[in-house]
Amino acid sequence: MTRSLFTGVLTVLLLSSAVVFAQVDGGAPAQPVVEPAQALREIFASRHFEFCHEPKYPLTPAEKAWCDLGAGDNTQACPALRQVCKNDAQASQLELREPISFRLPELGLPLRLLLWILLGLGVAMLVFALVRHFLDHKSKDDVVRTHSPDSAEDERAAALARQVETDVQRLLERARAEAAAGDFRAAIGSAYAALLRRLEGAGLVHVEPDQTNGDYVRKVKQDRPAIARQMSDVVDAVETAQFGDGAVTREGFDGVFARVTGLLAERMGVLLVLAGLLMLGAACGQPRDSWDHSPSGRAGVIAYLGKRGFKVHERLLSVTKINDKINDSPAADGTAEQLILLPGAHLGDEEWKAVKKWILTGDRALVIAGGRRELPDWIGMRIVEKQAAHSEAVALGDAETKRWGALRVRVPEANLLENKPDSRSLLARKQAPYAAERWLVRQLNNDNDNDDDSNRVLVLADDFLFRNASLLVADNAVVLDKLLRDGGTSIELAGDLTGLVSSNPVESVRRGRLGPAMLQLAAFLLVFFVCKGARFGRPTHSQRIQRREYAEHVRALGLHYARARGERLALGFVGTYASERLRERCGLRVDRSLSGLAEAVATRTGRPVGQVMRMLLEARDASKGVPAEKGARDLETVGELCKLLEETGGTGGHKPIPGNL
Amino acid sequence: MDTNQFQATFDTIRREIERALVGQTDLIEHALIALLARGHVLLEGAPGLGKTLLVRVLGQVLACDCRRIQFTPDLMPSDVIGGNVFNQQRGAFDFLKGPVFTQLLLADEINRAPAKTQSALLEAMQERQVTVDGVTRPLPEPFLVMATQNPIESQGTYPLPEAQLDRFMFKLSVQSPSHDVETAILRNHLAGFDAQALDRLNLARVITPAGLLDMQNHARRLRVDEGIVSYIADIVCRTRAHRSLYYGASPRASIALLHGAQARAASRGRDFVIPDDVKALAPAVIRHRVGLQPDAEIEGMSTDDCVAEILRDVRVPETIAA
Repeated sequence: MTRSLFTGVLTVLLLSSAVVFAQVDGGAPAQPVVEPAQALREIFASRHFEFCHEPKYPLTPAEKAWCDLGAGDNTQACPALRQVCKNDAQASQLELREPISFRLPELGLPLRLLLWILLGLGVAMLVFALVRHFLDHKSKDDVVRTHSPDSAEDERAAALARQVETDVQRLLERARAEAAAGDFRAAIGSAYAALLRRLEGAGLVHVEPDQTNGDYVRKVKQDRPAIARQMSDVVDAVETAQFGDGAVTREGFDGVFARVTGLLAERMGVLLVLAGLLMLGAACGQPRDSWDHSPSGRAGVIAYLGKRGFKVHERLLSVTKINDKINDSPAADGTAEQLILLPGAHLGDEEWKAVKKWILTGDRALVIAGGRRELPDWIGMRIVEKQAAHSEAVALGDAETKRWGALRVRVPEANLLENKPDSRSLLARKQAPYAAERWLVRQLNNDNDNDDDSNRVLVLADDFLFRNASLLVADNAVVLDKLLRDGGTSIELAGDLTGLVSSNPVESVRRGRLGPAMLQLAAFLLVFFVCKGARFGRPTHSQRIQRREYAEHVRALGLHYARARGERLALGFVGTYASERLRERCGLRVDRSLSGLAEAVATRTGRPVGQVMRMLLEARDASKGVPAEKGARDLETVGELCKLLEETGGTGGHKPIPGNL
Repeated sequence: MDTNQFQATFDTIRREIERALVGQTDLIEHALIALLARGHVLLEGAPGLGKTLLVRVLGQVLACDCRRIQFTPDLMPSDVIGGNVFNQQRGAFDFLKGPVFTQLLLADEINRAPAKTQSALLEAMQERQVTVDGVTRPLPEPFLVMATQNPIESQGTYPLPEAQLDRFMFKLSVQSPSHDVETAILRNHLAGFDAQALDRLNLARVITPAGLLDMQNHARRLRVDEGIVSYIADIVCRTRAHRSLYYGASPRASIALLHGAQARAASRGRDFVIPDDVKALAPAVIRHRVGLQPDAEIEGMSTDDCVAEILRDVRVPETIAA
């Protein structure tokens, strides 16, 4: 059980590590530039954007704000949104930006160290277990070989063992493949093998070469009578195919396969129900399955930028590594690179330092799209939360109006910016800027790089322009395009997924918001422990320990004596032993004659004195090495001596009988 | 007759017998299988367990002629098979049929008769005929010998020779009833059951001897897969090389196992034999056809242990195991 527990914990740790190192490519491939209206129509035509196609799609209260701003008016791009805005369906999730409130606590250095040690120990134990298993396997092979010296037979058995498939899913797939090929007899065999392997995994049967199908059914009947009946039906059909003379048809296979899969499903039913409950519990408050394609998501924005000629790449590595050379970075093609920090990106001092270094050492641009964060001083701007009502229009600055034309921007209730005099407002409400840019003087790398020596930092009060619903409102889509165009077409989005690669597994889990998933996994492991017990985590077909029992050893030794005609020798040993025990039990001294012993034993056992005397004499002769006479039955004498010992107190050792005879 | 009819008839016969003989399901089933496979049965068990009753009930339900011979040390072969008696009126010898001329023969305590008398049954059991004074006379069909022997007493008994034992298809141990079965037997008797008056039970005559022959023929026609044939051969051959056996089973054992498996398969409504049929009958077929090594006997092993060991070593056909 301890080993199983260890395996379970190790599984959790390894899985969490695996999740940490997983890579997700969020980038969109470069495409020909498409006009904004056309691009929006193409994007929202996808059924993934349910709110544009499903009139009963529920909106969160925050998303309802887009309706007030006229998102439903763009019926060409998003025909159903108007109806969606009208109905009362409401998603239970109030704030999708932070869907999971559960967070693992921050760990101090000692705890982190402890975690690493545990992980290291886990890996070491796993390696140790594998090595030991391998060595055990080797040594057991040696033991088994001593039992069956026929190496050719061994080879055949080993080859057969290698061919045996034990994986349930692969067996089912094989059954399907064989059925597809028209070999229904083999297909039925494979389906039945899958059932047996599953039952074996559940500990209900143990598949052995000497076991018949009836044996399996009887064993299942003992432990799980509920499924024995169904299994019996399957076995009947299988045996008809295996031993009957009728042709096996597709219908026959389908019937067996359906019953087998039914049984397999039933076996997993409890687990699935539990899994469902756990999933439901974890998903409570998230009625929608795809946040990215909701009005608050960003899938449409990324697709839109892609159609507008941008190369968008979602950053997974930590921002602290932004200065490292990354092969798949969009900057690799030599175009200007632009980093957009979305609210989901968590930036500490280290990250900001790295960002500053990054932007000051190349032809780059930084976009900060809102977020509840304190901006460092070198940005020169500050985001002030929720001070503007959404009724206040966002207006373009004079220069932007001149460059881009008269464009309308509408966003829901928004944050505002506080900026330094050296920054320039691009979009503003009445009271304060909504989007402003500032140019930082770049640290020149070489003498030729002096044409444009400053890099742009664009700060937006929030990230509303980066939401799907925003694209459908007023000229937001065009404005977003214009705002980003000056920074270059290669964009890296730093958001929720950024920095999932972290310094320790718990940090990864925390950043990836995988806490609930990990707890579910732990619950699953617990369920497996309960259902499968100690077998969980062990190889299904561990090599059984084959060790010769003592009785078998003695039997083998006896056989060797018999084959070597060593009955006389055996009689000598047994006779000496029996004589000593009999003297001891009859309380006779060693110097008493054999006839005295015979009389005492005969009195004790009621046997004729002559018979006892004959046995004792034969035993004495045998022990002295006197050759046997023709027709001597030494083995029978051994048996008789044993019976004599039994009658006087058993064949065991020192058991004196009270009383002197 | 088809397989379904066979199974239905078999079940009906069994149910009728169980009305009179309580708690001996396995014994009844094996006896019926032996009958349908044209074999004979050697019953070993303490007195009073219903061996004689079984034969009488069988005779009633199967509408067969039924006789009993009590074997004693002074029983002569002519007391079993009959003999020629001089008819003074005709001035010639008339053959006086012995009790072996029946369809169901109960040879009670067969090991009490000397080997000479026991051997009088050899030809009858194997050839289903009797030869007296050079004249061969066929026995009625169907013909089933059920012999009993008492395992407790050894004084004044003559162990059956190997050749005689080999003639028996099955050797069955009649088990003592459990507490529940014992109680049921007592209740039956309280309700008026009398083993000497089976008529009162109104046992149905389920089948005629001719119907029984049909069933025997049907069982012989059942399909036996090549793997099953090989499985039977494997089992029997291993008895000849087993370390604890000094002689193994004869080919007659293989044949008995084959036909027994066919009858068992038919009784279960199948028209083909499966490994389970063979495995279930192997101990009953083999246990009396092999001889234990003396050392194995000293160790307390039995032939059943050897058969179980052999069955553990033999690979079942079509198994998925490695």
